[in-house]
Amino acid sequence: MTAPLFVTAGGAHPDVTQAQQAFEQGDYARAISLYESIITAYGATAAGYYNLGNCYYRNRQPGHAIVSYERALRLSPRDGDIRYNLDFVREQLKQPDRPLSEIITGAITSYATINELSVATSFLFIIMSCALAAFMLSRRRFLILAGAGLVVLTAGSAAWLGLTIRNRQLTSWGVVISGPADVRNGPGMENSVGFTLPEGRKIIVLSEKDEWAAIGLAAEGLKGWVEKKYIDKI
Amino acid sequence: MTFSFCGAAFAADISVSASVNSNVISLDDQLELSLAVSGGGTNLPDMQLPPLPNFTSHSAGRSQNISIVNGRMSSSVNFRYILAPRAPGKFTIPPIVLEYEGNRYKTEPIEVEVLARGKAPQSSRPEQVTAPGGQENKELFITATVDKNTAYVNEQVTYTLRFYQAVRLLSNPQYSPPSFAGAWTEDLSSGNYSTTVNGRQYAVSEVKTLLFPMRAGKLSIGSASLKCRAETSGGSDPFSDDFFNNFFSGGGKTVVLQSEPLSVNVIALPAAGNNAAGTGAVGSYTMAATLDRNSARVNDAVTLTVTVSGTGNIKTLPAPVLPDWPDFRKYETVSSVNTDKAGETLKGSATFKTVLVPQTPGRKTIAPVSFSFFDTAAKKYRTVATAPLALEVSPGVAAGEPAQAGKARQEDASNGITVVTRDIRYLKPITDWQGAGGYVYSKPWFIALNGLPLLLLIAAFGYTRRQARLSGDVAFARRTIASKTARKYLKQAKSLLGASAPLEFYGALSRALLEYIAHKTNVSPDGLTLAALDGLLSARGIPQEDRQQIHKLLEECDFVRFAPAKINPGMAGQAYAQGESIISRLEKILK
Repeated sequence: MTAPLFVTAGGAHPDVTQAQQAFEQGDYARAISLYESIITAYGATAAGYYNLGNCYYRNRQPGHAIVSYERALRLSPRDGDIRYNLDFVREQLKQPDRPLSEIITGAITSYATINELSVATSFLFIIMSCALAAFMLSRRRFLILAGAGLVVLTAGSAAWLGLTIRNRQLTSWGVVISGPADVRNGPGMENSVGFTLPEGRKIIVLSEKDEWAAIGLAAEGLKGWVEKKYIDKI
Repeated sequence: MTFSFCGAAFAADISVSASVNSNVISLDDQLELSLAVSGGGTNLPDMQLPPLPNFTSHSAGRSQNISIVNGRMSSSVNFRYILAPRAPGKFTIPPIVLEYEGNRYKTEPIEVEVLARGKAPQSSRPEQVTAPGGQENKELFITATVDKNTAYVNEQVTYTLRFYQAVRLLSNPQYSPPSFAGAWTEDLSSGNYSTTVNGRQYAVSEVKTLLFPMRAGKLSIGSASLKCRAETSGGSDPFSDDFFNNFFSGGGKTVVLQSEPLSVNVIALPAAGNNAAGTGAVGSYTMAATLDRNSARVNDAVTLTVTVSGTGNIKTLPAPVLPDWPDFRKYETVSSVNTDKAGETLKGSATFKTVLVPQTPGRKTIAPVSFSFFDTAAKKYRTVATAPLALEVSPGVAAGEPAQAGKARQEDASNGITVVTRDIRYLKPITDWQGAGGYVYSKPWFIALNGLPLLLLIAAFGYTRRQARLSGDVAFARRTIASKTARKYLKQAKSLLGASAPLEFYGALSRALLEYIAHKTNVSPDGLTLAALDGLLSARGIPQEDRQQIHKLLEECDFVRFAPAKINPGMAGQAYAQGESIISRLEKILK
C-alpha cells in the first residue's frame, strides 16, 4: 500500500475530485467505486467512509450505507455529520428501537476511539506513577491524595478501554446489506429458515464457515446461520 | 392428401400418431403436421416436436377431444405444428417418440417432398381451388386481400379473407389462418353478407385481421386454408335418399381452399426529429391527464392518470415518459388498455396511472406530459401534451418520523424555522490522509512507554525501603556508614601528615581504623582493647596476617601518642599507606 506523502494543501486529491463530480452528476455507482478505490489506495479515513456511505444511500443501498457510516464512526466517533447520517438512514429503514442496555453500552463504547482511550489511560498511568513515586520519596500528604485519585481515574480509563476493545475488537459486528436475508438453522441451504432479517440490521458475527456465517442478535436472543453475501462486517 | 393413422384407442393404453396435410409441397408453401395422442384416460401426456433441421416449425395450438362410445371414454390430444421448408428435396420427418409411464410410443416416419419455389405441387388434392383468378363459376372459393401494399412499421394493415360459397356446406368450414409472422395481429369480428359475382349469387363470410408489422422489410403473409365438406354440384334435395346417404356416409366432397400468399412492403419510420422522441407509436392519438385530487399533504399519495386515446396499435403503446419532478417521488406506472374493434380500425385508449408522493409543501404545478407518435396520414411525427395540473400541497407528517416530529416542526416554525425536507448531510473533504494506522496499544514503543513509570515506581519503592531500614536497623546503618567514617578520618590523617603534627595524625589514623571496625561489627569504639578487637575480627573471618598488621599498626599509634619525640615523617607516611590498604582489604571482606 502506498500512501501519498504530499497532498497539496488546499487542493483536493484528483481521485477525490472525480468521485465528488460523479456524486454531483448522480452517477452514484461510479462514485462508490471511486471512493472505494481511494480507501484501498490511501488508507481508511473517516471522511472517506462517510462519503462512501452517502453514495450508497443515494444509490438506494442503505445496508451498505450503514456499514460505511459505522466504519467512519469507528475512526471518528464524535463526528456529528456521520452520526446524523447513520441515524437518518436507520430511521429511513424504520429500525426498531434498541434496548436500553444496548444503547448504554453503545454510548459508552462508541464515544472515543481505542487509540484515544489508550493514550488517555497511558497518560493517567504515567501521572499516577509520578505522583506515587513523589509521595514515596517526600512523604507529602497531598501527593498521596492526588495519587489515590489518579489510581481511580486510571482504573476507570483502563476499564473503559477494556470495554471498548471488547465491544469493537473482540465482538465482530456486521450489517445485513441486502434484505430480507434468510437466517437458517444451520450452515447450508438444506436447513430450515429460522427467521429473516431486514436490510440494515446490525448483528453480531459469531463464527464463520465457508460461505456461511453464524450470527446472533443479543437483544432478541436469536442465533442462526446466514449466507455471507447477505452481510458485511464493520 | 395422405394421412398416416396409427392404431385405435384402448382403455388402458395410449397410442400416438403423426400426420401431415400434404406429402408434396412447394418451397413457399407450408406443411401442417398433426401429432395426436389418444387413449382411455383424460390425462394424456403432451407431445413435443423434436427439432427438424429441414423445417422451421411453429406450434399452431393444441386441441383435446373426449368421446364416450358405449360407455367407454376415449380422448385424444392433437398438437398442430406449421412447418415451413427451408430447402427443396425429399425429407423424412423422423419417428417422434413419447415416453409415458415407462413405455415408449413412436409415430411412423413421414416422407415429404419439397418442390422448388413456384412449382405447384403435383396436387394430390384434385378438388382444390387455388386460383381466385379462375373463380368464375366456382362453387366455393376464398380470396385474401390487404388494404395496402406498403405500410410503415406499426401501421395498421387490414387483412381480409372472404369465403364465397354458392353451395351448401355439409360441415362447418375449418379455417386455418395464414401465418402472420413478423406482425402483431388483432382479430376483428367476422361478418356475413351475400353478393353476386359473375351473375352467380354467393354467400360471403368475411374475416378481417388487423396486422401491425413489427419490423421493416417484407412482411409475408402465408396462404390461408379452409377445409369444408360441400354438397356435390347441382345441389340435392334434403328429403331425398341421397341426402341421408350423404349425411350418414359423410358424403359430399371434401374441399380444401387455399388463398394466395400475400406480401406487404413495410418501411421503417423516418428518423425522429429533435423534439420528438421516437417512441415507435404510430397512429393518431390525443392525450389527457387528471389528478385524483387537487390538494394533498406532504407524503400523501396522489394518483396521476394519463390517458392516451386514438387509433393505432393501442396494446403496444409505450408509457409516456414522465418528466422529473423534483418535488415528487414517483412510483411505478400501472397501465391498462381498452380497445374498440367495432369499426375497421383499432381504436381505444391506454391509461397510465402513476402514484406521486409530494415531498415538499406548497402550490405545485405538474408539468405537461408529452407523447410523440408518427402520424401516417400526415407522414410526420406529432407530439401531443397534457395540460398542466395544479396541486396544493400542505405540510404533513413525514414518513418514518415519529409522531412527535410534527410537534417539533411546529415549534421550529415558531422560531421562524420550517424543516422542509430531511436528508443526509453532504460529502466532506478528506483531510485526514494518514488514515487509521492501526491500534496504538499494540505498538512496542507504547508498551515500552508504559513500562517507564513502572520502573520509576520500583526505584522509588526500593529507595524508600532502604531509607526505612537505615532508620530502623542500627547494625545496618552503622555498617553502611563504616567506610564513610573511615574515609573521613583517613582524609583528616592525610591532611595532618604534612603538618608536622604527629600526635594528631596518629590519633586520626587509629580512629579511622577503630571506628571502621567498630561500625562494621556494631560495637562501641570506646574501650575496645586490642585483644577484643582481634577476637571480633577473627570471628568475621579476617585472615591472621591482616589481624597482625592491624594489631601492629594500632600499637604503633598508641606508642607514638605516648612517646611523640621518637617519630619521623617517613614512618608516618608508611603508617598512613598501611592503614589505607588495610581498610580497603577489610572493606572487601566485611562488606
